[in-house]
Amino acid sequence: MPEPTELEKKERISVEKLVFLIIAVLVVVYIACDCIVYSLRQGFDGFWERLGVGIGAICTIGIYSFLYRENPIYRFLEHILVGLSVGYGTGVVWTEVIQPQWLDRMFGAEGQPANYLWLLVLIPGVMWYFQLSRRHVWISRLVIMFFMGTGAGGAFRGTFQFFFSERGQVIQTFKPILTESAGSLHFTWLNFSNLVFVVVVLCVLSYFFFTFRHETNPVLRGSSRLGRYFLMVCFGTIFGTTIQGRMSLFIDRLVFLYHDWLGISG
Amino acid sequence: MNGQAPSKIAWYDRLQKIDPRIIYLVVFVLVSIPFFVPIPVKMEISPVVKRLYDKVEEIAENNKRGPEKFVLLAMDWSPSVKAENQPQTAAMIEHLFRRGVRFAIMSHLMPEGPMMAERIAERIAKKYNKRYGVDWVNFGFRQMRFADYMAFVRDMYAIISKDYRGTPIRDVPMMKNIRGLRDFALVFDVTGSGAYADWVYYAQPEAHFDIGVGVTAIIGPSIRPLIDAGQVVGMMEGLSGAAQYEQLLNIRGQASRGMGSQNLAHLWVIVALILGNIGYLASRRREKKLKKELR
Repeated sequence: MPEPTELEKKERISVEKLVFLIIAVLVVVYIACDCIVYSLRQGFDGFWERLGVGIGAICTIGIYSFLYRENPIYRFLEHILVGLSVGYGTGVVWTEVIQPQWLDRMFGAEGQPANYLWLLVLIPGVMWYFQLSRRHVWISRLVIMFFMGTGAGGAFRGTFQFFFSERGQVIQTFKPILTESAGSLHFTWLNFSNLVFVVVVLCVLSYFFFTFRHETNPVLRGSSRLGRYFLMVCFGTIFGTTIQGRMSLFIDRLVFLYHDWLGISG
Repeated sequence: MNGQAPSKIAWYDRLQKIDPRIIYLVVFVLVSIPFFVPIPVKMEISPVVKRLYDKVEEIAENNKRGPEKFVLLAMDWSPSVKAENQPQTAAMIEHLFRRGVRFAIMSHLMPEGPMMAERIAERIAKKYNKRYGVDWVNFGFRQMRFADYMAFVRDMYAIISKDYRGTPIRDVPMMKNIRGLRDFALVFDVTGSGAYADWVYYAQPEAHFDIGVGVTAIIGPSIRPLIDAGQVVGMMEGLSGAAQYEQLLNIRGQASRGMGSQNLAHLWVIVALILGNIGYLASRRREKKLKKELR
């Protein structure tokens, strides 16, 4: 295929710009008409509701326009999204953590007596900010040490329970390969399943066993190779479910566009 | 034109260099078809979904005979994973209302979760004539660390003082029979992250309740070992998990409606994979042939 000339490239870009502009104008006109019709039917509340849906539709289409090519509409919406996330996050920290968990407890709120001892919490809180001072950074380390210690202690307890309790991962790895009934041993489908499980666990573990060289040990070489294949099957499964998840997100957006915005029931 | 004859691209090279925009367009068209021509999909019920369903049935039956147990819906999801987690939440709430199992909503990770679950619960509550505060309660968002889970097990009033609507939690009628996490038979964590692990790590060993999960499809494979070990009783995995649960409930909800689109999209992914691989194998064969000829 011959490379397009500079003039051809410029012409193509200007055509694309025109198409983008026409689509944008059509969408905005449609949303405006839609809002007016709704407000005539359901009053002024209907107007705001439909405007919200319309803005959502513009954002969805604008974000998906990236699939065609990087463009200013996409970038503008991306910046809005980032700004909204930061603003929302800040608001949430205030309304869900600082206000109810600290200020209300300290100064008292409805049905909650004031307890000024909560003021002491401010001390370790302020200590964190000494990270910003090179000279006094050691003060922040004191509080970090405390949090690391309690965190590690809690995590150790939880991890131990997760792996070594009755239903723990390590304990549940020991599965019966033979079943005893009426004084004799049997090999059932469940036992076969358990056998596959144990073989897969051992092969995958051997792949991460680095004490001996895999090439020189024939047993380790074979089992680690099998382990690698099992891992690849696992990664393939995860990748497959990732595609499924991404498609679900896309379907949800189309439900919004077709159903909520355009009113196609489906 | 630079005067040279345009070089012809072989079919196998074309197959490997399909413009991604064409692939996206085909996905868009295929996913759109079921919105205009509904495609009914009968799902094969996965054992992990059935076990979750059976667990709720078991709680409902046990509540008729013995002391009442509740279900805690941990709504650790945000709008970014709404596509998968919303139908899962709706299916579970539908089941709980239908069977008269009372439940509480909360989140320890996502502030938006309880808000979104509240809307779903309100919508379904109208269908079953259920009342807030009597049949269900919303604890709202409460950020928790490991020590909080232990307190939550024994005395949840130390952790939660008000419900989502601002009512002091002790004034909510349903709370008369709830003291701590030990009064719950099941914690159903709906999430697009690893939030379920906190319940498994810190709370389950203390209170011995069952844990069910509703997770995005990506998280699903990492839950399988936990189900195998009995740490998690059952799961709804992605949109298909929710669709299976809807089928068990005999309803056609958001998930079931989306499965037609999901199937067509997956079919296209398989076709695109096959086409790409045919192109790759053919080009490799051609390369080998050329090398042989050169020798």
